[in-house]
Amino acid sequence: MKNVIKQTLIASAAALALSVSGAANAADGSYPSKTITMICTHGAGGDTDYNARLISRLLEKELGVSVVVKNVTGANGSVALTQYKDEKPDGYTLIATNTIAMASNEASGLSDFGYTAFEPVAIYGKQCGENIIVKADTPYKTLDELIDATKANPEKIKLGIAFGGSSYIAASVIADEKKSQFALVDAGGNAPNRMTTLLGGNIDATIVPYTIAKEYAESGKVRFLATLMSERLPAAPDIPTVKECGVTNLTVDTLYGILAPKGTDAAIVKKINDAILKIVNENQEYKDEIRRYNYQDPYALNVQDTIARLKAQRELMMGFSKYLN
Amino acid sequence: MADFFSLSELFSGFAAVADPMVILFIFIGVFVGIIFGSIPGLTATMAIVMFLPMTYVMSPIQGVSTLIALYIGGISGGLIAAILLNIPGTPSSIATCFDGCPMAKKGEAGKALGTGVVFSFFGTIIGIIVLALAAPLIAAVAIRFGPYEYSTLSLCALSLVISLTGKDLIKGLISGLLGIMFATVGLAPVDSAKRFTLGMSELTSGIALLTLLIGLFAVTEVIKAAEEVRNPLKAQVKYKNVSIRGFGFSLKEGLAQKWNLLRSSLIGIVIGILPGIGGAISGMLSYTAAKNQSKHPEKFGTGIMDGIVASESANNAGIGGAMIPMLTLGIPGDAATAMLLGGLMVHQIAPGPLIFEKNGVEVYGIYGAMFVAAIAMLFFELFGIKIFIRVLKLQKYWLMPIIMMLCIVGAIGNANRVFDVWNVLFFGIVGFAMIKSGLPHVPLILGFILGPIFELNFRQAVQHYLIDPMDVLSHPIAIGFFVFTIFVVFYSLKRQKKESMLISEE
Amino acid sequence: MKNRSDFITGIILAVFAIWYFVQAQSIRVFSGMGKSVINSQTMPKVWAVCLLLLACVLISRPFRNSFKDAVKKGEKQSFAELMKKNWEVTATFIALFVYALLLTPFGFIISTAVYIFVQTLILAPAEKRSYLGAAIIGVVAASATYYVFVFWLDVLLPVGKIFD
Repeated sequence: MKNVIKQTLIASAAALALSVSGAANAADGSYPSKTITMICTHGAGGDTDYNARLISRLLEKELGVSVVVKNVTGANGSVALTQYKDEKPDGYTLIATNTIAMASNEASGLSDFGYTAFEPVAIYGKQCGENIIVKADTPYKTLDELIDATKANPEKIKLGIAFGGSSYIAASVIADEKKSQFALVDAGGNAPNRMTTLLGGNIDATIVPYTIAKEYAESGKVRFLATLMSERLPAAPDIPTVKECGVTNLTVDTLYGILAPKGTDAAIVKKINDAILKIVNENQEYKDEIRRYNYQDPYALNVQDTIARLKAQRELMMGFSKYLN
Repeated sequence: MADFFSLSELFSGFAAVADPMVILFIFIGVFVGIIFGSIPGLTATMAIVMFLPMTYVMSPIQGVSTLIALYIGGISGGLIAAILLNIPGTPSSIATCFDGCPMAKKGEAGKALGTGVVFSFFGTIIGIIVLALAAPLIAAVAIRFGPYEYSTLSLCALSLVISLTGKDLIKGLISGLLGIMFATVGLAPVDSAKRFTLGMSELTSGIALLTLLIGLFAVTEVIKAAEEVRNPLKAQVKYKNVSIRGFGFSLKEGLAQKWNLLRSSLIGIVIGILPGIGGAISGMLSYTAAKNQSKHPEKFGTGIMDGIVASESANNAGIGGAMIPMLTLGIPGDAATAMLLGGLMVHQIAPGPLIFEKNGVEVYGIYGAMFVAAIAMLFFELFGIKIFIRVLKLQKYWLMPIIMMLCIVGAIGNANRVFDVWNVLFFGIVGFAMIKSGLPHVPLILGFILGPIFELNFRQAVQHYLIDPMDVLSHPIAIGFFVFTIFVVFYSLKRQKKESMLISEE
Repeated sequence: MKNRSDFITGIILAVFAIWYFVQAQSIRVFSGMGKSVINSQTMPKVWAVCLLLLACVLISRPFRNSFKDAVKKGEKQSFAELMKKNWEVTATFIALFVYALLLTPFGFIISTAVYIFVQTLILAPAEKRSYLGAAIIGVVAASATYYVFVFWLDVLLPVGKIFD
């Protein structure tokens, strides 16, 4: 009996060793040898999806195998992240997501894990940022003027946000630091909704991505007051950041990231990261596409920097979690 | 305001579509769309989702035309399964089942299909005309709709449950409530609190309308087939009219539907325009309206043309309606137009207030593509009727398992997860239990769609009300909806009582 | 018979409504809501109360109508008889359940082929049953569907854990 157990143990240890070396083999240059599936956490047609599809189309050329994007959507990306975090870590299943969604889901308690449940592969893009906007026929020219107006007339100026989302965090931080007295109303979880609510005159100010408001700003219907990004958007250098407006703690950068299931070989991660860096930094087609589609500038980080960036973003968002419970 | 209509751009837009390659893509798109639409479980939205990435590499006008063709083909294709199988091919053809299937059972499947196809075409065309002539004007009105308007509108639509419910009001209301309650599973509106997820992470994204529909319609049809194995129905389906001539109905019959067509198309357009309501209920609403306006409401549900015309012209007119906010505001009204929006932006067509100035030619190209797609749809479906009808000749034991498999594929493909198969099974059991206890299915679907819209907007409206109570008075549309709702409730209660008295006397 | 079924339906719905109400009480209430009196618990509770009231109406019906149509005793069937009369229905549900169960471990092709085979045999009248036909249709339909949706349309149909 003892023998049987012993033999089983040895056998399983051998099997384990074999499978480990099998994974190592995958990294010794034979990877990738078959189709890579890229799970996109957000729906087709959106910016997360577009970036994922663009990078995978170009990755195919770099890696020499097909990279197929599949959308698994729901609950701000947390459905896909939950489903694929324990996927086989062989480098053939990757996850494309946007990092702010992952961090804010953790901060708000929507999901109980963050980037540490994965092997981060790369941050490969930066969205053109969320902006505070007002209708152009209002008197407010700067964020300070708007905030002062709320103090003069407390709880009357309606700021349309999505409760629990990054726009809510922004509103809370501004209220904390600048003692603004907005009347907060829910104006829908997706940005187009907040845009319509503003245009329809049902709210006075709101927070939406640059792409959505750009056409309206050009046609003289809305005015940008500030961007939530850490730096001014190169495509719109006239919009100040909230930091410049005196809200020291607030930055919301929406970054596009690629993750691999926990336990994926470091060599595989490095190989994909190298390929991504090469595309983002050198490929002219890529640069043209992202600028035309989403006013993005090339932005990609190596593995260490990616992890550091995710860590910083997580800490920032967890610091906001007091607003979220 | 006249700058949104320019003759020279109209011509160059249509010229762009006149390219043989574009027309080929439109015909392929419509064909594929019809296939997706006609197979229960696969929807127009899914067709667009799956083909969207392929259009990224096409030229702008090719890509956009293909997507629009898929949309039009998909929405229209839903009528085929609704009529022949009593399973809506897409959510927007739910109401087509009500009269389409009974008519097919009477042996007039050809007439039912012909009616559906022809009035789908007319509905689409009316939608395109309204879109082309008045898009910016309508969008300016639609954008005024805020929480007050949406909450009263959804309440109004919910009150129509009463007229859709059949003879037993209590059971109709229960069914509607169950629909609302199933829709609360997942993340709450406004603050995203998890509700009724029973600790399952899969349920945080809620229950997909598609899995509910597959469960309630497709599974119950399989169950019905199972019940009939040893007890065949007394009235066997007749196939005398398998070869149809012309459209399957006479010119006189068609002309008699002109007001129904106009009213239903209008309802479809309005529902299409309002972001977030979705095309699935426009058919049900116009069906109810047609029934309430009819001189012979008791004939509805027995297989008359009116019901098919109402549902099919409304859901197809809704396409033009949904394009209005998508193009002029950059606001998608439903999942399908959200995909289209993404498709446009990839090709540097920026929907929004400046679209006529910046992309005038492309906009007219879109109108042209819609027009060509409508014709392609009419072409494929009219010639296809003879082929579709053969489905009825197939033995159910060959057909049903295949349909069920395709539904399972659709359920998995909807969000790319196997978990949804369990949802389908669950709603299959619910649907079966409801049939056995005499609870109607339709109010449940209406409640499921409208409940969340009502709750979200009601909660937002309360926030607005608390900030400034007097502000309500500046929302006359909302007040109008509210008064109308009260009127509808009283009127239909009265009518309902009369009808049930009639039935119990029989 | 009909009234008896209404009674049972009413009881089930009432139990469901109460369970739903209790569940609704554990929904997290978001504190930083600005001005608002209703939260994520409010509407579900309203729906639950409405359903409970309607269920009570349904339950009370048989008693109100009892003098009109007294329960016909002769129509009562034993559960076993009911099952026997409609075994195809039960079998269909079991087939669907097993299908859903097999999808993940065995993958789409195998489980679908098995399901179509079984479901076709359930639905076919005894004299028309063709084991070979059902098997062929099952295998062909499952493989063709898998091919089209996975390779052309990028749908993630389950491959099957056993093939890992």
